[in-house]
Amino acid sequence: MMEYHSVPPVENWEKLGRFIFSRNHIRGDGTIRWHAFKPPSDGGMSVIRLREIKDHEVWAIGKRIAAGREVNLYGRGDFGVQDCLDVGLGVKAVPLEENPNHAEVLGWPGERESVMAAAQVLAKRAVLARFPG
Amino acid sequence: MTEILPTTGVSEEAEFLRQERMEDLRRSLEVVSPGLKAIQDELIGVWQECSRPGWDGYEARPLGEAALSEAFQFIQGLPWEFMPHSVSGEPGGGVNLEWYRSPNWLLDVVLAGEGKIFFSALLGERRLRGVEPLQEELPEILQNLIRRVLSG
Repeated sequence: MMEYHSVPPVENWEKLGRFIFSRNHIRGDGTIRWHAFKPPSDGGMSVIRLREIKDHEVWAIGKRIAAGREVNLYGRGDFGVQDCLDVGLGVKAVPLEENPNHAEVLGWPGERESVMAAAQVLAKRAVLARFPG
Repeated sequence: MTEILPTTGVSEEAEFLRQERMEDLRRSLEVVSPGLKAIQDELIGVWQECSRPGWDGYEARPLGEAALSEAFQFIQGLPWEFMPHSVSGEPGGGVNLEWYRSPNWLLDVVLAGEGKIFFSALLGERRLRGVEPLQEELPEILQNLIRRVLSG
């Protein structure tokens, strides 16, 4: 895991993970629906940077988030920073003490249908990693 | 339709009201085919699952009654061969209907209780999105998109 006080800036080659807490966000064929990548109305979409972190550490963070929000962890969608750039979005490191690898996907459009379109592309390119727990 | 009751609370009373509201909706539905009934049942299940704030583990809004009513209206007006492949809650509080052939060929429609149909489609390398008014007849652009997704 990264050090909270010295996280490096996000680089284009990095991989990101978006935790999935709703089973309806995963299709029967293992692909991911766009709503797993819908941002909040007033901010960036939370993701975890998958560099400098072990897989079990990633799942530990996901489990902790799920427990705090009283939801189930089903998996995560792994995609690239470049995928965000390809649809006009940006990624910014937003380290948290409990999760220094935390980042946000920013620059979402204002129109609902445009958000859907960008999220559909991210969902299409994302690879599902099912929660092994 | 019976009076819309506040059902977004988290108390036992709110949950009871929500269950009552679902039963009212079930009784009011005009069932014309087993396929339509299956989708309608799925809608009610989605409403139950997406009824509390943060149901997606993030900032999801509860699925709104107006969105649910629009979804019922929209689905009841569809020809049977145009029935969506899946129904799900959309984190903005709307209902998402999906027609899906592959990750590169799909159409998502969101009904959010605003009298509009929000849609976005992936058609191979092409992307198409827009907004149409929610009316009795399915807009031609959506008819064409559904046909393209289903037939390729």
